[in-house]
Amino acid sequence: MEPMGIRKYLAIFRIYTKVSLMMAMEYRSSFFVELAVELGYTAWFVFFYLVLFDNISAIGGWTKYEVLFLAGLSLVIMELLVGFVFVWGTRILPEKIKDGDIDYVLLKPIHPLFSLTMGRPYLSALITTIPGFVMMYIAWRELQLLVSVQQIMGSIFLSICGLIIGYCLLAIPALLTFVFENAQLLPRVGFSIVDYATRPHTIFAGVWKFVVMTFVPIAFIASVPSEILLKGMSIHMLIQGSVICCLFVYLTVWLWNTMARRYSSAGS
Amino acid sequence: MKLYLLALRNFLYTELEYRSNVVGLILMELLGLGSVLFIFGDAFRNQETIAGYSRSDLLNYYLFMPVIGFMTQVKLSDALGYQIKDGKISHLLLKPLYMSGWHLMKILGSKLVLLSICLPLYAIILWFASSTGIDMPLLSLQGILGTLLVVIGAFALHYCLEYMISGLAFFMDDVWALEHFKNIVIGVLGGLSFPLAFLPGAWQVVFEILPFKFLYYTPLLYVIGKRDIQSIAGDLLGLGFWMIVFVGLAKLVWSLGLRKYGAYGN
Repeated sequence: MEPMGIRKYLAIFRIYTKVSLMMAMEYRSSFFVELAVELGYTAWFVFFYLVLFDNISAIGGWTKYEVLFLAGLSLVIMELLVGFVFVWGTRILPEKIKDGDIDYVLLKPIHPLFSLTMGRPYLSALITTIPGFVMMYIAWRELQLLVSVQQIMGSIFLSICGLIIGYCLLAIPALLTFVFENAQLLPRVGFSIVDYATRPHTIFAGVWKFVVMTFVPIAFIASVPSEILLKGMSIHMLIQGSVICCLFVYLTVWLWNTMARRYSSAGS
Repeated sequence: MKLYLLALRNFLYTELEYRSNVVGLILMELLGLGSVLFIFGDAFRNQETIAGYSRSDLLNYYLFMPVIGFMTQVKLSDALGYQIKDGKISHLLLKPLYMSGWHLMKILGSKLVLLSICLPLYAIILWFASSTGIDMPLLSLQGILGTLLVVIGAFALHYCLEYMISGLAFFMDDVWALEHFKNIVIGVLGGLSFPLAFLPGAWQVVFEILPFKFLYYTPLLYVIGKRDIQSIAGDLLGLGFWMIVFVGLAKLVWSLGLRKYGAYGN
């Protein structure tokens, strides 16, 4: 069988999204309840930062509106990860492995990891990316930012890398459930790690700074892309971010190949 | 009573089977804790106090938060809500015991397993934190007993709240959302995100009136020594009042719900 290109995967993903949209429209009341829950979590997130900045003037050298911009970008990326990967993907993977429910996926002519983690987008989360864009807009306006095209392109490129790194950080702990069967909280541990992306990376010092820039590169999910836009272009960060992104994709695929061999199909 | 104790024993055995989830829970608590500690660790480089909280006050507030959470947290509405929605509580309705008592034993079973594993592990973390130079709070015997009373009251209050919320599943389809709404409310109003003293004055008055502060904020104030032990009587009275309210509401919701319950699911 010929290996499928990225265009084919995009076409399949479009079909997944279309099916999810049809389902959401069929059960409209559920869709609006999901939306209310997502908006509730967003309101909590925003409230935390508002109260925080009532009491302090800066976090890690970032002012209120700089942090608001970061919070907005991280909200967009987090909601994309929640919507496309977490809710109907990595979160329920332990249960599927325990019940021996992934046989059918393994037979499909697409990468099983793609199908298992992104096969059913949760569209309510995608709508709650809107408050994130609003927060970025307000912050940009208040900061009266003037940015170069290179900064914008660099920031968008690193945000895409950040999204991919976030995907890998969600997938890696979830894949460990092939070993620790029914460890249903492992995917949530991954989510808790990715949640650090909402903080400026400059709050980390010493060994922690090294960790968040390399082994657990949460800094590249939203903080570094925001920094490029807010504080200036850094070629070094662009290179480091893209190299780390490639390494994490390789690591995730390798982990899948290693872990999937442990799958017995019988359930437990 | 013997029936309830037997139920408790069975639930204890069931919970022990899934110990790996307890380890996952501790990891999540530590990650959440680290997330706020990094922020406030940085904030205290520029200022001595935040809303009257010194560095060690605030570090202790967040460090002890998981301990209070292990004791006061109750998760019932999600599972019980689905059982109600799917018409799967019929066998429990036929048993010669109260539904609320049966579920209380279930929660106590998981709580005992959680505490027996989490507290010793967390004690090591606290010891490690104190060895890095964080001033741990000193509690008197009265302080410990008082805090324990408030924590037990908070657990009971949380149970009543969860049992009441579970009953709402008789009237709605999307029961999964109930727990999320509760988490958001407690996250904001219960002192889970930050001490309520961080809020502007007018907001504090409103938040102080509501019952959610008892679940995290009030016990934590006793632990870090920010609340005088003399206030315990008032707090227990407040807890008692809100428990009566939630017990009343739970009874109302469940009696109306059971009339509607058809055992075939909805």
